[in-house]
Amino acid sequence: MFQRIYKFFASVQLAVFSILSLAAVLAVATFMGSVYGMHGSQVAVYQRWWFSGLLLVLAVNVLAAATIRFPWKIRQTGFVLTHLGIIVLLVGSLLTQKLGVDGSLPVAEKTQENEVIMGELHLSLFDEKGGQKMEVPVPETHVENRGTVLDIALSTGHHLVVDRFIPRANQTKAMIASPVPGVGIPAVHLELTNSRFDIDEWLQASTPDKPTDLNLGPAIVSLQKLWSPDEEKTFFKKDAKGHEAESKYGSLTIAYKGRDYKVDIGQLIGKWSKVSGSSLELKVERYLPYAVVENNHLISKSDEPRNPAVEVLVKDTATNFSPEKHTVFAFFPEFSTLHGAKARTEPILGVDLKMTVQQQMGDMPGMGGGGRGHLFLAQSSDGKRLLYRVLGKAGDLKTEGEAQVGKNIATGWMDIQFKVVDWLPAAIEDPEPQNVEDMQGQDDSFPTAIRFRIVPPGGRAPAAKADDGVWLYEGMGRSFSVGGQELFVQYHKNRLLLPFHIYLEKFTMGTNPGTQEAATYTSNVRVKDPTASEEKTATISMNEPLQYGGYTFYQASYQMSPGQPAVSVFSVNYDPGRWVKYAGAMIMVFGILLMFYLNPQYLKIMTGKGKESA
Amino acid sequence: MKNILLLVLVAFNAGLASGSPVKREGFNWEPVRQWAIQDRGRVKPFDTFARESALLVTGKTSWKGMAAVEMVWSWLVNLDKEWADEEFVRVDFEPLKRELGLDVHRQYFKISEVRDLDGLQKLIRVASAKGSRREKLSELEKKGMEVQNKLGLLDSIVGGSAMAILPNPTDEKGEWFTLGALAERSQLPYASDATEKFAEAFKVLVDSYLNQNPSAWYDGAYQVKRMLVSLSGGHYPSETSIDREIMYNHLRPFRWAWVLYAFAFVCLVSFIVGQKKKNARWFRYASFGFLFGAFALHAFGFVLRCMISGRPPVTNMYESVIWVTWGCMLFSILIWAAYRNVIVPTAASVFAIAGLVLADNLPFILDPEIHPLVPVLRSNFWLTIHVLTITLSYAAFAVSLCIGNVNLGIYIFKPHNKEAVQENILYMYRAMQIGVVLLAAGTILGGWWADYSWGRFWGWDPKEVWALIALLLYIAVLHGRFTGWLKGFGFVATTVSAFLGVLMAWYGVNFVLGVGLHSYGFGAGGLSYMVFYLLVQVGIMVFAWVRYSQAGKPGNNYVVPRTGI
Repeated sequence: MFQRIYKFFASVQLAVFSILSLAAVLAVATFMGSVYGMHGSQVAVYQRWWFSGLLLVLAVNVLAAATIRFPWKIRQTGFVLTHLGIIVLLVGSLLTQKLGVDGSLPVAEKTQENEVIMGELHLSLFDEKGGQKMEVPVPETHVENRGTVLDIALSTGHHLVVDRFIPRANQTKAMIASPVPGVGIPAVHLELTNSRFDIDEWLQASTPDKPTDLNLGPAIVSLQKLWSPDEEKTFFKKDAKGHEAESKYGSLTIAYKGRDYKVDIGQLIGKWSKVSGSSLELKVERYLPYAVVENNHLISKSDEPRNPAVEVLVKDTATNFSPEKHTVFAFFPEFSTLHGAKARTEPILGVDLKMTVQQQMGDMPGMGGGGRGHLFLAQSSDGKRLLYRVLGKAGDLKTEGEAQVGKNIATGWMDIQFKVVDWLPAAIEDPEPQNVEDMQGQDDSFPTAIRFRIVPPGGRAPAAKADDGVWLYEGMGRSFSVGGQELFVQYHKNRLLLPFHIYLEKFTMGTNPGTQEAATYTSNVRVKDPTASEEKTATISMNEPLQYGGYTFYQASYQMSPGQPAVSVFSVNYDPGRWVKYAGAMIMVFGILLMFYLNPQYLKIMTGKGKESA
Repeated sequence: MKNILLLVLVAFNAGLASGSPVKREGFNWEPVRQWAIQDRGRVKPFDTFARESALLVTGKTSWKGMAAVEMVWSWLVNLDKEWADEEFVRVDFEPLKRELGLDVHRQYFKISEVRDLDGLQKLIRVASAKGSRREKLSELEKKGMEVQNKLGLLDSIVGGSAMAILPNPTDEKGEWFTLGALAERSQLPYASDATEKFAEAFKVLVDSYLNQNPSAWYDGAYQVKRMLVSLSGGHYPSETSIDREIMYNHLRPFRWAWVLYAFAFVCLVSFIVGQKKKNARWFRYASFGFLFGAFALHAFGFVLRCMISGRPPVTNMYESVIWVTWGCMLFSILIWAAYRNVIVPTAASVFAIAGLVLADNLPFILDPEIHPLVPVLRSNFWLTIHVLTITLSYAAFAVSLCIGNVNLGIYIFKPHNKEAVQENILYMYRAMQIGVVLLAAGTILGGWWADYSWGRFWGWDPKEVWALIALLLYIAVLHGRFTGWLKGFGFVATTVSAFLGVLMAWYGVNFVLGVGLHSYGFGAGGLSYMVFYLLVQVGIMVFAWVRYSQAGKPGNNYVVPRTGI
């Protein structure tokens, strides 16, 4: 009996079968990876017990095939080594998987860190004193899990039930009615349609003086909340920019001390005038409709406004400084405007000037040229009516009135109709994330998310409702009280504390010449080890890891955001199977070489003395 | 459109009012070709920039007798005028044209026809929203973005922001300055009179072009070049390197290589067919002349590309096609040298010709541009070894595929020619052995390198998984042969089929799956070619099986020589 099983496991038939099964499973896994991301394919296939089982069958097969031929002949050296190498390689991988550490360590500049983020998702509970009560792993799935993900019994008899798991959470822009009275902003779910397109968006209002413009291709749409009946009257006087009509010269927007102002250029030409609401005074010295540089002088070629520019003097009446001279080009807003800044002895005011002209509307590269229509929406001051006003491409009034939910309204341009699908006078963003079914890019593009509820003692979990339960994204926590106890729940990746800290001195990123593409990353670090007599300093860069205390630190990635210190992310690795794997790999390749190229029969064939044998 | 020259130079009105470009006769473009420009992370000759730009917009490197460099210059100066009515913006993808309401029978469109399309703006809006959510783009959205990129490039040439020809005087790797920056020349880090003189010289050059004065043009272009060199503070790329790249652009070594391979193939087939005829040996000499000539040219082009990019060129699909086809010829020549059977290089040259023809003609799928390396691949010896080894294994498997197809041909036309089939099976087996060793070693080197770089020997990355699948498939064939399941026809058919694993590892992961760490080589398109190949291959296999069965399955008891197991 044993012999029969042994022979079965040593058979080439089983080998071909298990090799092809493995190939097929791997192929399917890569296609799953294309849809669910690499991490999704790990969860769905590579980390499953049956996949390990398949590898185990293969390993037993490889081992049996080699041992059953014992005692080995000299000519079998290559064959035996190859099979032995595979076994050693698989053993090494097992060591890595079971005993190794593979995590990441983000460290901000000028700070130290020893908390390595590992790969498992955990839910931790803390009591009000910050003491940890329990930590449980959250089972991952590659698709959304709507069953009971976790059921944790609390000491009060309550249950904490996790009833949703989303592997790739994407917060939708959808709005829901605010559950708390008096909180929330107006929101409108709008549909814009004509024969060629069909746009469907949520629009939310922001402050009354700055309506949020939503650029919907052929139309610019905005929603605002009106605060008084007076504002309703001015709403029906809006022009294409939402302002009073401008002169042919256009206008200047001025950003100064954190506030924005706008003035009509026509009012400034040749005379000093005050910018209302600020201490600034402006005077336009020259208006150049068609500005060109000739012999290092800026002149106007003609009166046709082909490249409008103004030379403007700016002064702050609160100071005694002499006026600054700025040259502002309407079509080249990226140019710096201040002249003679280097020669100036007095402090620079720091104003930012932009010139806008009527015809520029829609002439931005990459946007639909030729102008777009405007759809202004506003919620009346009593919150009971939704007003609209539609302007055509040229700023001409097309239609205006009061919108009804669910009713199509023809705008009068380009056959476009709009419909208010939903209108919420006080709304908040829907906290429920959407699972991304088909993703691209790296795995860290989307966090996972879970939803939990507290079920009272003896009570059964009520049926899941859309507005029920609390959503937690990876890295988030939430406090709640249950049975008179304050508890804090945190959803996070599990951690490993290193016995030493890594201090990041400096992170530098080199770019490809003339681009923002990263070319090299380098981190200067110090290892703060209480057991070591002296601090070790090191430079970690791509392909140049740091080895310390059995761990290896690799430069993995970085995070840079304006106003924040740079964060360098290291991947931290401890791999007891490394040299086993290397040895196995080398034995295997050596074996294949021997098998193919150093056996007597092959030599005979090479010399043409013998050709075939069975 | 905002023309930067309107601002930085005196406005000019000398351009022809007609909306169609005209080739200026008598102009010498060499000096302009030799300007250096910093573009997408690399300093290159203006010639290269012009070719790449022309290719991106029109799909061609010349237009109505104008070379790429003339086209790009004409765009810079005259896009609003001479090109206003010209249909030159290429839109290929039929569903996109239908979606946008463009004429599906036309390939080229005026700028004005594509610029203001609501449908295109909507596509881009959806695509960029998806992009920010990192969701996959549909084929339509990708093609829409391509059209947008064409318009964007034209805008940035005319607006001056793409024209970074003013060298950085202080930092060799620093950012160069664009023609657009001339508008604020006081901000540039050059002596102020130097920039003034440069602007003046550039204006003279533009005027001489507009006034159709070839000799002033020629002097002016050299004058500009001299000024650029002197502005650079000694960092200007050497004339040798510029000339080398221009030579590479114009020599087109890979095109000539496939032409010569094609000659070699024709001579080899003639020789094989008429082997017993009297003058057959002349065909033999000629064929080997062509073959080695092509092989040498192929290698020369490869070396030239290495010298230009300063690294082994195996980091995108185009470069790997060049390398793998070369490897395929190398192995076929080695096997020919060992067994003296010309069928091996004959069969292999079909693969080389097919690969090089595709590389030569599908610039949007196999991108011939030289790009800078991504960080993870920089200055890493192991990367080079790992990638070269793995791709060489593809080459060896390609040889066994080609000879396998010769055998399928024999099954179709002369099913009783057992001897030829057996000979060929030996060659297939030898090629497969080379491939298995290289693929196993290359995959392990990849793991080694990954471990060294980011501490992970094996991470189930799709590229490494498919390399493993390909290896498993060939190992399954080897084991199947060992059990005696795979004799003559079975061995040939399974070996040919196993190449599917190579195709997936090589092309499929990057172009079909599109996920994983090897994302620097990702691209799109070409699936139809791949499907076409697969259908033809399956057709040949089925037909060969029918013929082979009809003939009574000759040679089915044959087992290829086996190794020491």
